[in-house]
Amino acid sequence: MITVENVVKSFDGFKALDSLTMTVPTGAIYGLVGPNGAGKSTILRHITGVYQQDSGTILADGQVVYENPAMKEKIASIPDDLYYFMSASTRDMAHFYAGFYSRFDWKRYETLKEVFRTVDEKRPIRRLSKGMQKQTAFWLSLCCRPEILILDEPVDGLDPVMRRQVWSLLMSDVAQDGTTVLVSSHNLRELEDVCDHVGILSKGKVLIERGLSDLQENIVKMQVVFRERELPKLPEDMEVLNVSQVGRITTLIVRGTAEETTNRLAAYQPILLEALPLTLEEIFIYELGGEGYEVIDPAL
Amino acid sequence: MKSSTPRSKESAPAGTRETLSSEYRGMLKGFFNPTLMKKNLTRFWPLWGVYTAILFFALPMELIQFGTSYRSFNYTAGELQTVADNYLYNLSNTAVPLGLVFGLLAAMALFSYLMNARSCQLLHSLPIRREGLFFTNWLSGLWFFAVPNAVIALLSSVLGAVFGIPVFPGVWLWWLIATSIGMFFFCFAACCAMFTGHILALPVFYGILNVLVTAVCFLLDMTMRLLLVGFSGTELSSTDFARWCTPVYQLFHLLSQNYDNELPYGLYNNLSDPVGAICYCIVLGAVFTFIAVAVYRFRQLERSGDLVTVGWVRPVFQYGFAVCAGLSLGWIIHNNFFEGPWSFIILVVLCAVVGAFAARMMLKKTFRVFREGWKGVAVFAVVLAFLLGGARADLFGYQRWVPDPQRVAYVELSGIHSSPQDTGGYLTATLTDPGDIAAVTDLHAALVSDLKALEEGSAGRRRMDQDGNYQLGDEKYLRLDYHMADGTIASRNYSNIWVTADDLSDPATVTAKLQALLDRPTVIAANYLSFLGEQSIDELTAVGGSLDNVKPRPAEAAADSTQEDTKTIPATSTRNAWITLDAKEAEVLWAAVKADLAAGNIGRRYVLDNAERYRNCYQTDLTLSFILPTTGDSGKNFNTFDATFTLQTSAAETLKALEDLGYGDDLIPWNK
Repeated sequence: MITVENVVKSFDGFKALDSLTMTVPTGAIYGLVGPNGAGKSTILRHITGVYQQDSGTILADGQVVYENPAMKEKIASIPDDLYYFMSASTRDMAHFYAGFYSRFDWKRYETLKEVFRTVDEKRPIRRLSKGMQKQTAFWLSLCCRPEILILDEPVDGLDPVMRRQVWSLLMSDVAQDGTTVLVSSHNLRELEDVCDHVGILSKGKVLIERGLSDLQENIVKMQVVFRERELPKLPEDMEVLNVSQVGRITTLIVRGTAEETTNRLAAYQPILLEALPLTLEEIFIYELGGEGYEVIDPAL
Repeated sequence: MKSSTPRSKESAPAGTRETLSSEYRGMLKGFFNPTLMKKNLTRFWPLWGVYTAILFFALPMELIQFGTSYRSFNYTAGELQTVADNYLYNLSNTAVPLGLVFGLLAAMALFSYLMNARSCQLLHSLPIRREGLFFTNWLSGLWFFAVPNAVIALLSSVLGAVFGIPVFPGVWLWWLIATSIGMFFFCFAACCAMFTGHILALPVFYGILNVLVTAVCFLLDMTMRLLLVGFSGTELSSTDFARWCTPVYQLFHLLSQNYDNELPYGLYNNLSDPVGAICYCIVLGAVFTFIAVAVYRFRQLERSGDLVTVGWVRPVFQYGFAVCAGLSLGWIIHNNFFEGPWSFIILVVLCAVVGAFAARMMLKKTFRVFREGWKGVAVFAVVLAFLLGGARADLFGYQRWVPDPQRVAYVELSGIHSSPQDTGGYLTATLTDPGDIAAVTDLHAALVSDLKALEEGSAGRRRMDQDGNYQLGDEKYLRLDYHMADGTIASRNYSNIWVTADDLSDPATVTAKLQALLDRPTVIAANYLSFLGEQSIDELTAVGGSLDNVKPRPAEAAADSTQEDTKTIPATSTRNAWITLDAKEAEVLWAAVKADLAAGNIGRRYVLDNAERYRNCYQTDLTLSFILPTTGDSGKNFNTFDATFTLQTSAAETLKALEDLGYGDDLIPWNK
């Protein structure tokens, strides 16, 4: 389990992380989403022990990660911006990682050679395409047999087949070894398929953190046709995130369960009342809309 | 278990011995990584390869070349040893520039990962502590120097044995020196690398820090000389302190070669202080390593790419850069286009402000620094202007300070040129007599009472009379070194003391006070016999001498027609005619001179070449050669000194002694 409590980090007076608190359960695939500049990469660099926070606590399995080689040996990471030594091949880098990670699995390396067959293991990595470099990163990380895998925009540059392939590999590790995966991505459609937990980050803080199904159950899209043309006065304690109207159909995004919201709106005896589930992308957009980060139509 | 602060270390959950043990192993493993070491050696082989190649041509190849040809020179065993040693000594000196360059290159290569965000992230996400990364890289650097040097030394030993050249033990001394120098410069560069996040800034910082102390001392001295009347200069840039803080200078100093008179030209007998050089490198290398590790532990990795990575160093860099830019640029512009101290102050402040903004631009990596940085720069400019202006306006009392003569143990004077031009012509005296000290402080007080006059000096005033015979005025230089009773030393330099013929008659003037000081018998004795040091005048024994510029005897006159009318030809334009004095004559004359010195009748000085000087002085000089007993390591010994006294009409005892010796008619007076 990864526990982050009240972590603050400033860069030249700018608060990149502002009392950030989050918890990644053991064996979970945790999707970290947020707008650009929200602090996703920054918190991931803290969790991998690269950056040191100004204040707050970061623990993995109850231990501090920063400057703790025993703990760091259980963590593998794929940063958004990959780095390999000049002229080092995949095999060279595997030897390098094997010198640091005592659980580096050469048998797995050979097995995964088949999966990442398009990557020439003897060719300098810097001469490979961006997608192939990403494949190399997955190949090497998975051979480290990590208990915690930290991924920052991991499937950027991978083709659809390879995307599916790496997600499949990750999910099998989670299922078999209980690996904890923390992944940040802007591809919410993809995260929706693989994540069981989601945290939404904005301005260095976690706005919402929940299991994906909890999250989807706790926010609902209601399509309503009221008897009157005008939108009636809704109950004050009903948290409406967004209202839009097309013709007589009013679409309400409401925080709450579908059943509870349907019952409360039924009191208005609408002509039509229907509860629809929200995608992760919609949840992301509406939650951040409340934070002043929404799609706007500029008068061009 | 959680920690309340991020830096505190977590211990494993209680009761789990296995976890504790694995954590302990992990901690130990975190301090060194053989894989990283191997990677460093394989990645950066061109670096140590080139270094080894240079050494190979410098030593083993030279040995092969020398070994195949030296037998034709028929060296003795001793000479061959000296020649071999000399070559190794020269090579030890070459280790300084080699270490300077390759130490930097090694640090740039091994710590380059800190200068790039991506490589920094890769290395720091690995299961190894920062100390582990540092020491593994540090050991790689040690390897870069120690192993190639050892291989070359070993190869040279073998070649020496094959060709019969005695390179042992010199080659291993070279190995020690070259390795310690290389490591020292590597540690120094590694320390610099911890403070910067930009690979190109590293060689710049390294180069500047190598000479920073000497350069800053020089800049401050130069500035104070322009601002303060009488500033003697701290001369810090040429002190042991500055040399110690300037590694190349210090190492060349410690590895200088001692010349032995008995050896043929170009051969030296040993290095000045090789052990000192090795100790200097090891001790300072260790200090730099300690600083580097301490800084690395707290280095903010997000600062990769920044010019300065350590928070508190950023303002130090900004304003340190500004001060250096202000003083150096201000001085250059002032020297070429302006005059006067106030224009210098304005230029320094302006250039420092430009420097402060330029440094901020480099730190912030943007040109837009004026709006958010102007307040700090404004305060800095005001403080700088206050310090420079305050110094100039003598707010700190430096320029007008004159010591209480009671608190002066002794004073050293030097610099005043006076007539005649004999041993006393350039004042060099150490005065211990309270009366003399009081006369010096009295003169000093008169000098600083008019700082403007001291600054202006001659300022285009006339120096000679209309006929060009006598001086009406002259500029004098005087240095005063007060050795205070409390052990401190206070020095002053005055280079524009304007003395005039008119002022000689007014005892309150600087000219008259200076003349009075020079005329004191104790000052005259101290000036002429400054070589005595703390020894007594009675310890001197005159053993010979000469009378120079005497009237030519008939035979000499016939031989040289230019000396026929010696009364009208100045001594300086004649061909010297002299009389050599034997020991007995010298002893008689020395007794007479001592009597005249005590009475103040000989050695009278003239601050201006005026009529009185020509009336009182002869053209003829009396030179006496002395021996002075000394006691050194090799027992009792003697030093020899000469003193030349221009004969003066007032020196009654000396003139009488010359008359008695039969030289009375040989003296030439001035007819000017």
